[in-house]
Amino acid sequence: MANHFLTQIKISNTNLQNMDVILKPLEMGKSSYAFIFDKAIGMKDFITTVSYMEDYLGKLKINPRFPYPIYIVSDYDLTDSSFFLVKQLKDIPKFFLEMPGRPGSKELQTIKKLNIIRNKIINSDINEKQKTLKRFATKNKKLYNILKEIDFYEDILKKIY
Amino acid sequence: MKRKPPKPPVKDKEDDDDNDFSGFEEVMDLVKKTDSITPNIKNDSAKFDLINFLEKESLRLNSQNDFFTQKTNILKNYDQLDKIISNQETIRDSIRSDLVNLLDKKDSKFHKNLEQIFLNAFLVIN
Repeated sequence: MANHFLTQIKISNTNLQNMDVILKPLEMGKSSYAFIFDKAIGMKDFITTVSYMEDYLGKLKINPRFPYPIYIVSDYDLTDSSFFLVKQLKDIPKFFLEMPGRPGSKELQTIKKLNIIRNKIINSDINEKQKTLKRFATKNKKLYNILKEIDFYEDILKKIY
Repeated sequence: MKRKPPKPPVKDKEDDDDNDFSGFEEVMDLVKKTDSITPNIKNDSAKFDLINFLEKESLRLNSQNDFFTQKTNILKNYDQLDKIISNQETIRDSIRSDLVNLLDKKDSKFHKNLEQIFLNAFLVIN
């Protein structure tokens, strides 16, 4: 049951060098995690650890956003990160934070069904599909710009006549 | 010796209410003695919270599953955007050429406005 909720992992300066030991036992992709970076960690170390985590997930072909998001709690900002970056634990949606109670037998059955859907999503190669979505988005932007131009010309034509 | 008549039983207020149950007093006493069952609201609300959470979770996962397995596949296999873009580009080019032809005429409003601006900006000496 616990794997449907967010688990918090604190990362300090001492943990930074053995990130493998921290990441290996985690079921990445099958549950949501929040990596809380210590404020004493420098910007360079932060960037290197985040990029290391991205590489680690890339090797496992796990998307850091779907089906379960992985959050990074830190004061630093990274614009091109594939993780969700938040400054406080409060910024994470409550949906993942709250633990409503212990499940009974009926609830466990529904959880098993949810696990099947979750595995289906993980196996559908999300990273590849995100690339097609990006291509689709750029094409849509291009179409939007063309339509905007046409609208501008039509507006001028209306004013002339 | 005269025997005293037995005292009538003293009626409580509760007994007045229970006139309908005359003859069942002993049983009713037993019922009254038992503790009233209070529902455990905390446990119930926690259970409903969990059910609510699981419903939302199943909705979330199902919508993600639909999106990644069906909708993205449709986008990939039946992409119409290239054709639409080329079609719109031809429309844009034709409108632009029409507009340029219209504005390029000597008696067009564009030319007249330009002429007026020019005349206002500079003094014309005869």
